Amino acid sequence: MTTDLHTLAGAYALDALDPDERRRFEAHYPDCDTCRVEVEEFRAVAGEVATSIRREPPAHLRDQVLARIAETPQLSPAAPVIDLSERRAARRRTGALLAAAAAAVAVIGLSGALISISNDRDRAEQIAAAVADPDALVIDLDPTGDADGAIRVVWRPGTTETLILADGLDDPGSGRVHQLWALGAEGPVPAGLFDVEGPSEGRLTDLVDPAGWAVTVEPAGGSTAPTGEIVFVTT
Amino acid sequence: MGTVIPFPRRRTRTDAPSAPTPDRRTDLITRVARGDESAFAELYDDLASIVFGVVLKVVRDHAMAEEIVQEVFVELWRVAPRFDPERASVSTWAATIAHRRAVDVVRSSQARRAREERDGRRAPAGHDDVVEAVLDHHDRQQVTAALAGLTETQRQAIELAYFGGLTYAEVAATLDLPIGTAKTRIRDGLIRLRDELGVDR
Repeated sequence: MTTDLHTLAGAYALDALDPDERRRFEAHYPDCDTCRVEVEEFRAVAGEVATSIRREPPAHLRDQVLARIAETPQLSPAAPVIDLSERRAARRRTGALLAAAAAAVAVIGLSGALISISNDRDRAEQIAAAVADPDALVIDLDPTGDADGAIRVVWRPGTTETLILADGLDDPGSGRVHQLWALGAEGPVPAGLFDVEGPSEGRLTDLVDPAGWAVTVEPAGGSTAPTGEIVFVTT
Repeated sequence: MGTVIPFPRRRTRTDAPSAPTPDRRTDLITRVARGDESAFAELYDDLASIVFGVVLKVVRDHAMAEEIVQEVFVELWRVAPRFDPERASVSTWAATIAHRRAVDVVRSSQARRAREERDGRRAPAGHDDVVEAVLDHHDRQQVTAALAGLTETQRQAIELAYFGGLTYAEVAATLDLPIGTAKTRIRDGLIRLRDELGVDR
């Protein structure tokens, strides 16, 4: 497999790998001197090609970009880059009733405001039932950068339903939405779209046993594969 | 980036600075990494045509390209503190992020569906349809000459992958080649371009 990976530098530098191969190559090349140099050189070639097809964007774009960056925090220089492929899920079983009860309290605390406002009893009962399910996993996701808020996922292995509880997330922007991904062996599987606040029901499009979970911001309606930066991930 | 040859660039912004050298770009990015927004404005003026050019080439939709360009620049601002000049020039760094974002958007099913409806599944456009672009003639001539030096299969494979946003497996299917051959043609084509363009990261 290693020999195989070495031949992928060209296709990788042109973003011409499928998601699975891209992930495998990204796990490989930073530690392989030959591949790393090839990737850097081929990207420079692609950069030259890009420079040869310059097009001036419309002038109004400049102000929009500058307005947006004025409100966008930068990454810190030293912090390590998160490598999804090496993340392992926090698979905390809530088998013990005590833990389930504690989780239920926490979950209701997280989303209680919305539930009480909407007085949606079915919703509340469903959440309570989900977290009380001794086979359900309660999974907390952590922000990768400066994202605000908290995300908790309730999911029972072997099922495709997810319950996503969000609290105080950043507005994803107009025409955009938060999307949950289950990080399966074959790549990220869509696991539900959700609001910045409150509970949402999601569904895995494929029955997987994920090694972790992640959240990205995607165009409205969601994507079949992540296109945005990871904003929350299991640690 | 190979040899730096000062060359006058046509610009639409009359107040734009003269063509920055890689050194000046590195200076700019150092300031941007410290949160200097006016340095970022200068960097935008310098890189916007590269980013827009590559994004538009891949997505072939003005509105979508504008949206992606915004995302790309916000991303460049965000990750600027982690820019490593040992790994890439500033323009390569920007082009890399822009191209990946454009390709990822195109591959998301929604965008792909819309694009295919509009294009009636025609093959991705080649290099020739950008003659109307605002170009640096020197850059263009050098790259055009280098692409012309490739074998037909190498050139097609690289253009389908880079401009068309295809995976090498899709390139293979489009050109009716074995998958391994498409992968190899992309790589040996890039090696030839690298040598021809005198690129050293």
